[in-house]
Amino acid sequence: MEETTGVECGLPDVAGFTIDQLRATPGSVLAAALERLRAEAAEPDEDEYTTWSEGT
Amino acid sequence: MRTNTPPGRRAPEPATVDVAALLDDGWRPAPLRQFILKVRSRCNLACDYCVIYEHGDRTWQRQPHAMGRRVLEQVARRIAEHASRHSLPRARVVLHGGEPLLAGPDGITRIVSTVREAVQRAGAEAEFTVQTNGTLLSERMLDTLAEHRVRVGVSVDGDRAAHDAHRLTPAGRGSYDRVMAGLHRLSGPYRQLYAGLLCTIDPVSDPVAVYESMLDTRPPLVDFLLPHAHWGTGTRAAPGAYGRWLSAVFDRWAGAEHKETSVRMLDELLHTVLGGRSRLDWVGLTRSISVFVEADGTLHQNDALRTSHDGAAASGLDVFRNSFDDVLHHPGFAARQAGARALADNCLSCPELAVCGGGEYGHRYRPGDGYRHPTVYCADLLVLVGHIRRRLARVEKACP
Repeated sequence: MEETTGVECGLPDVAGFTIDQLRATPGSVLAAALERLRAEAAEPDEDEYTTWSEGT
Repeated sequence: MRTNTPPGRRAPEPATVDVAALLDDGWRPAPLRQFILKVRSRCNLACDYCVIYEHGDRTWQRQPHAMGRRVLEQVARRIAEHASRHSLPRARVVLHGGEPLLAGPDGITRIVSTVREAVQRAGAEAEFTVQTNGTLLSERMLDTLAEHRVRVGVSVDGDRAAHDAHRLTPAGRGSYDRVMAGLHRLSGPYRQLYAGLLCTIDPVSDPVAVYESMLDTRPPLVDFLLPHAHWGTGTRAAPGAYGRWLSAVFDRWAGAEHKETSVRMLDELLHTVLGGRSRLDWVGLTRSISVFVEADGTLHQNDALRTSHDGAAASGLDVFRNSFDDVLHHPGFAARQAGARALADNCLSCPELAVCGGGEYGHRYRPGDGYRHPTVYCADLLVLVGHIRRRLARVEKACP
């Protein structure tokens, strides 16, 4: 399958990007975000809603 | 639907959802997967914004100082029962307080062993995290946490000035040096236990300086918290100030050549803006799967509700009379799993509904009228989400 992210993952604002384009952009936070989207599309996990942050 | 909530302990406001109507409509609750145990109800710090001690809720005054053996064993049985009933492979258990490490190494051993063994007998695994203020992370304590595979989250509010402005000892002195001593031990030889940092935002602080100061110990995760507030209290800064503060952090974080750490709030907002599913219960239309167990075994909703009024987080349920399945049908918990069906009309018509999801439930409270309102941080979240979208649009233009 062609590695397009926008359509497959339903990206509203960066439709048309490929993973390679995002990897090439400065700020690998975005590349990591796209990798996460791909992983989520491949392997949905219903067990991941958390509330870790209730602080002391 | 059955709850044991005595009428006198119900919040005076109208319920956000009608559970019977939800069930008739086909809604079904998701099982709980995160159990937050208030193993100690008191703290060795006196932070001026503390949601437990410094707001409307006085539950802590009615609690024993520690979760006793009888309560602990019953909590463990209930978690195991829930895991077995719903075929859960694992249950996440957060040791919380007050300051949970006041239990000491022996107390931590007893708590973890009791819960882990009960859950294992049910065919599941318990995974433990402790959320601590960091002042009691001695080598002996860290050895104990390592022995029992308890990961550690530490509350620290950035650099010394930002931290010591609010996180004080009972004598009014700053706690920064003690916290950092423990944090350096944790992030050094005990690094495998390091879960992350929790920072409550002070909008008068320098956002980039606060973020960068938190990178020194290479945390795997930084979690920024909006100070708990609601429409009756208002926020500590003008509408939008927190959104601009977080936007500055976003630019610094997302602009780094390599991702330095996960900033949980921003990771989840970015992921949701991109069309993914949030893993944070106040971002996006997610279902909350957490429950709080007080030191006396009573079951409470989220700590964020404690800013509203005394007893606001209470459910009327407890581990002796109730299973965790009873929790799932309580209106307060059901509202946090009902998605759009628990939201205000103006949230339902908001273009950012899918990203914001209405914000933290406790932040939606309006005295006398309940929780069917936008979050009191609505303007801030719109500023931040708008900023993330504009940033993505700039990236799009820069791409070939």
